Amino acid sequence: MGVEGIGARVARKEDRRFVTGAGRYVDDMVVPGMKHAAFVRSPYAHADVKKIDVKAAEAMPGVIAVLTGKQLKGDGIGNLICGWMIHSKDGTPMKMGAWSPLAVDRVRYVGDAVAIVVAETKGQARDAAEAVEVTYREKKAVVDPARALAKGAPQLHPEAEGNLIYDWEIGDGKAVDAAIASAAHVTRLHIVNNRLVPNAIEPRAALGHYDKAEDHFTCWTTSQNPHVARLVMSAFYNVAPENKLRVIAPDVGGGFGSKIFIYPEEIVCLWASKRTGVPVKWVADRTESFMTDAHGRDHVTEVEMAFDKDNRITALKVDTIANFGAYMSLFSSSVPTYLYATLLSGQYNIPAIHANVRAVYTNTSPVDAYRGAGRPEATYVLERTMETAARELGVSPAELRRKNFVTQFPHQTPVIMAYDAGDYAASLDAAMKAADYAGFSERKKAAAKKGKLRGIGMSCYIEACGIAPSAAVGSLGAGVGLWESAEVRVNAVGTIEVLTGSHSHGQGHETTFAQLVAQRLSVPLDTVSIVHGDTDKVQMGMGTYGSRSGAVGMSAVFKALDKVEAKAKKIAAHLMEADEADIVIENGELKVAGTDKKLPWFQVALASYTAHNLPAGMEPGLKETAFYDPSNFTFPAGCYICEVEIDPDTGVTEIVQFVAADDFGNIINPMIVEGQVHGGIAQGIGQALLEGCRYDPASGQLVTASYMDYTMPRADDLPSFKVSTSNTPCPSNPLGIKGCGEAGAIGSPPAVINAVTDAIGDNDLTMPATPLKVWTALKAATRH
Amino acid sequence: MAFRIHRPETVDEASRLELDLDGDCAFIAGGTDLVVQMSRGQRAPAHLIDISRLPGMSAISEDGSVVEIGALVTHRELELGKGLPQGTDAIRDAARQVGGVQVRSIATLGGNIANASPAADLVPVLMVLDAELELRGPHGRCVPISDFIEGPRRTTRQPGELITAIRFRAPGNGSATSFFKAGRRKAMEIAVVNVAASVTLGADGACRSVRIALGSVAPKTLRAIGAEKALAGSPLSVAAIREAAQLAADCCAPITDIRASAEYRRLLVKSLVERALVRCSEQVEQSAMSGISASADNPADLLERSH
Amino acid sequence: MKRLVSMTVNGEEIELAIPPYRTLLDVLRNEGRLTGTKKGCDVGDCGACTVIMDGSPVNSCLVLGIEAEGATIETIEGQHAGPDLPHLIQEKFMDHGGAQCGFCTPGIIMMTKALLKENPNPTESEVRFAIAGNICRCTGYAKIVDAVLAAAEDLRKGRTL
Repeated sequence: MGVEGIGARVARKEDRRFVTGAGRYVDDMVVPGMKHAAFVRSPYAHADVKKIDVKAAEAMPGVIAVLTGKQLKGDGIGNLICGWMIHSKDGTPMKMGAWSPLAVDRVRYVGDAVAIVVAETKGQARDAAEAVEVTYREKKAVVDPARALAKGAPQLHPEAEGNLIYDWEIGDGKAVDAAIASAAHVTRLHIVNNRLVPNAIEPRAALGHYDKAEDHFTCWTTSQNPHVARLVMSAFYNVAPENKLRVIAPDVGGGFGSKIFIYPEEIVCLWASKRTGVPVKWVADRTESFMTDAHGRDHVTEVEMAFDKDNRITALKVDTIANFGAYMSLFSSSVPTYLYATLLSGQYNIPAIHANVRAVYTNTSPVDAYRGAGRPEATYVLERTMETAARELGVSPAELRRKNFVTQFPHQTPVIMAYDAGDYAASLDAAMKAADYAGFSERKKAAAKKGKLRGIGMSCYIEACGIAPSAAVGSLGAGVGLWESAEVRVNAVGTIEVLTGSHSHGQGHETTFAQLVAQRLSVPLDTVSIVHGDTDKVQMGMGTYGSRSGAVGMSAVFKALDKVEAKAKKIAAHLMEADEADIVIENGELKVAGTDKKLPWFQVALASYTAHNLPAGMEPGLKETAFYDPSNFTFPAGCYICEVEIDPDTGVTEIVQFVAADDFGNIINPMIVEGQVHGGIAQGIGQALLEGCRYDPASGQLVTASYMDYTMPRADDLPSFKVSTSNTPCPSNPLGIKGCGEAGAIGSPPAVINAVTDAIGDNDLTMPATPLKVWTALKAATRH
Repeated sequence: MAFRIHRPETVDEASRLELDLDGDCAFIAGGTDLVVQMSRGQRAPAHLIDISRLPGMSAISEDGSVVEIGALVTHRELELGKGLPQGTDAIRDAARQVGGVQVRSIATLGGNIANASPAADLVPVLMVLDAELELRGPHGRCVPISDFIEGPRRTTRQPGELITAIRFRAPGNGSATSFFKAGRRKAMEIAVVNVAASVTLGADGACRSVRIALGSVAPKTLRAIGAEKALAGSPLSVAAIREAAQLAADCCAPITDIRASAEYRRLLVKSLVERALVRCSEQVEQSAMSGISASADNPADLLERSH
Repeated sequence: MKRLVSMTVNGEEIELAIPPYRTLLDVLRNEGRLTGTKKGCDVGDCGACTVIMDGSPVNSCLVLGIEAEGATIETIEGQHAGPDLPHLIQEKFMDHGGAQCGFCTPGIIMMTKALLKENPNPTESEVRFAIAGNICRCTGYAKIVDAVLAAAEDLRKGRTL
């Protein structure tokens, strides 16, 4: 590890522009002649669209055009798709309802767009949007998935009878039922994983520009994966053929999954820019973001965990209803199936598992991946159940877990995943030590003297990320491969550009990827530039989500570096008349080992481009591409411990300490890893204590549509975190990286709720555990 | 949206402007409520009358035993407390819990009162201080704050009237005030329940006067008269405080909404009134013992001293 | 009908023709071409639009552009120790990893500046309270707090803001 290489705690290169306000986000972009768009959105959760009268709106000041779904469809723009096929138990494919970017005859959630107004200014566009007269015939709406499945519920899509998208299962139902029947103890829980709004602080935005002279589109968009956006917009939405469409994701202010998907707005802005002949920019306002960004989570689960007389888990049975909202978003189908149920073994040796998942349409915002995507839901089910079981069995939470940990690797779980390596007891020990778990009972007594209730809770999580081996996901229904690409371009005088299909929207790739190159080629960090986010510059790539940029994105860079290194060594060997095998790269030079013959890096690079003296048959240039397809998922794991103190008079919970002991395999930059864990934990605490997305059951209105009503974690809600990492290198990629981007959000909610329920002595508590709920539960507990 | 902004140079001019414009106008001071309402399309006045720079309304002063806070004093200035006399900690405590620092830097006391939200944090505090508003306009008048606010966003302000100052008698020896707020989180939260109390104890420890005001539990902030009566003339014993807190909880009829249920609000009233009375009692004791002001310039100091 | 408004922004006196109903945030970003200050919610809840106006930190989305007539405004673009030299707070944010996606960063840095100008020796809890009006979704605030405290420590050692 050098000062600037792998493992170094270097400051981020991209920060210079962020701390000086020089970041360039989509709303900062100005294109000559640019106009502004506002969307006309349904105020009803469910209605037929009978008529749209645009005359009044068109006549308003500054309005250039008012365009509707009919015109959109007339121009051949396609419907949004879900790209991952899931089949029901009966073999039928998932029931995908039609989702037009602008609704034509039916709206299905509050916020569903029916028209776009393009005007000189944003204010004019908004005013005109209000003047568009839409005649709706309101229908009954349903927001609760159980009600949506029930007989007589309003039907959202003709394709999905009973609003059921799929009824899917995994595992061995018979074996599970048998184990439960003969179990010494069964723990049963009803578990709700509350719907969340991702709320990246930068609202979604799109700027569509059709260049008539070149018959070419450019789209600036807040995306985590510009190439996927280009692919999908071309192949499915018919915006333009790929070679006529450039997608640029510049600086993006956070994504957390919500900016993976290709939304109606960017499609419509591109189409509108061709229709009107002007560039069209749209930026969501915060309420629009609340309503139309893909939401996360929203599962209701019945779980049964069976134990033998030695407190060993013999079976796990899970029945989940997943709320998909009004339409199937791009990856939605995979989240409660292959990203969820396959993690239900957790860190434990569970001989038999069965999960049944029903996906349901409701008149709410579409739901899709949000930091953790399925894995937080699985971890919450498992870790709440384990904690509950420990309490029921009268065993310490740590001991019950230890007894059931997987200790032999590789370990094949009953739900597809095969864990490659890990040491779960080590993380548990590290966390307990850091949290001074042993001293808790004293702290609890001291707090009780002051009239406060203390509780402590743990969560031992494992997740599958480094998404994903293409053949594996393909066989499970994915429409895309999940490899990653990299081109390492050495310039003529030795500076280096890495063109990566990964995209950084907070993760610091411009630094971490450069650290890898700096280490491998022994060059200064500031001679390495990372290029991402532009489909014109960078070869096809799959983007950043699922904690894959380290494990998959950097592995692609690694492979390309292998090729660059090999070629550079060949050239150096040729120039220095030495054996290729004797060339080493050190201190910015290529040396012949054991001699003082050496060439500075830039000279080798120059030699490759001047091509005056290259080995026979070698092509000039020093630029190599690699596509890396992971051979397996990676399996970060760890233990989180949360200690809380509750004021019984008000139900207010204060987190007095939060400890995280993670195993991420090899890490590139500890400072960045800590930041990712902190951010994930903050979101997990937000889910557990503060964030609650609510719909009015009668009208389907989104009640929590602003920061006043949806409580975001703020600086004075959170403690400092004690995070540490141990390292069992990942065996399945050349860098040994497992990935760390989502772990914080995956492991933390159960730790918090286990602590709160421990404090109040009542296990029946749903997230968010607001002061009101905690107080109510306390009253219930004290009555018993 | 098009409108005109007027910048009167005196209160009289501002008052006359409103009368002349006859309705389609709004006063703007800090703008933290108004600009949001305009942003959201909830209000669209054709004329704004900018009163943020009117003279003579931005100071905190004491004349004899009457404290005057200019209507344009910001929440931040109240939070920092310069010029506020002994026994008015509740004003600082309430002010510091409004919004975030950025909002407090420009949001004015007068604006907050005129906005008449049932959750306004400073209103219960001013009520227990028996504060009066000075209104200037076609007929100048002074009105107790409890009479000025009629309901959510409704006051007895007549066209042409501006709140120019808020006045109350400085709490004397043996007096203290306190404020507690319960929301779902600390800053940036509209109160679920807020409570203010002011207490004056005689040398014998008995309550010479008690005021308890409850916010967010009714269309307007209300006084817990029953609780006050029960405490009058009695010492602030643990039992008396508990009984008073229960009476306060019983006297209100809060609603159930997205933020809290009625039962929880009542529970909070009880718990917060208890704390408010205990805090007042502690402060009176402390200032009696130390013989110096129980107030501090820095709220952090305050927290340290009254742990 | 546009109105000419003059104000001092980052030390420079400027005159802008602005529509009457324009927030200071939009004026800075559009007419002023200073896009460093960000719009996260436009209703004063998130703090991404924080600037320093006449010495106080404010949400520029809550101030009408015309209200800023004659005011002295400091935005993120004006923060530097010298040409191309980061300012103390910026340096600490970089050293401690206080930024991830960077969108909330300008607002938080301006709020930090206002805090340290008024209280150069804050405790951790005072820092958290001071930035409670700024939402960050990426960092969990821990490294932001570290950066602010580190800046305060340097101030104690004699460096200036």
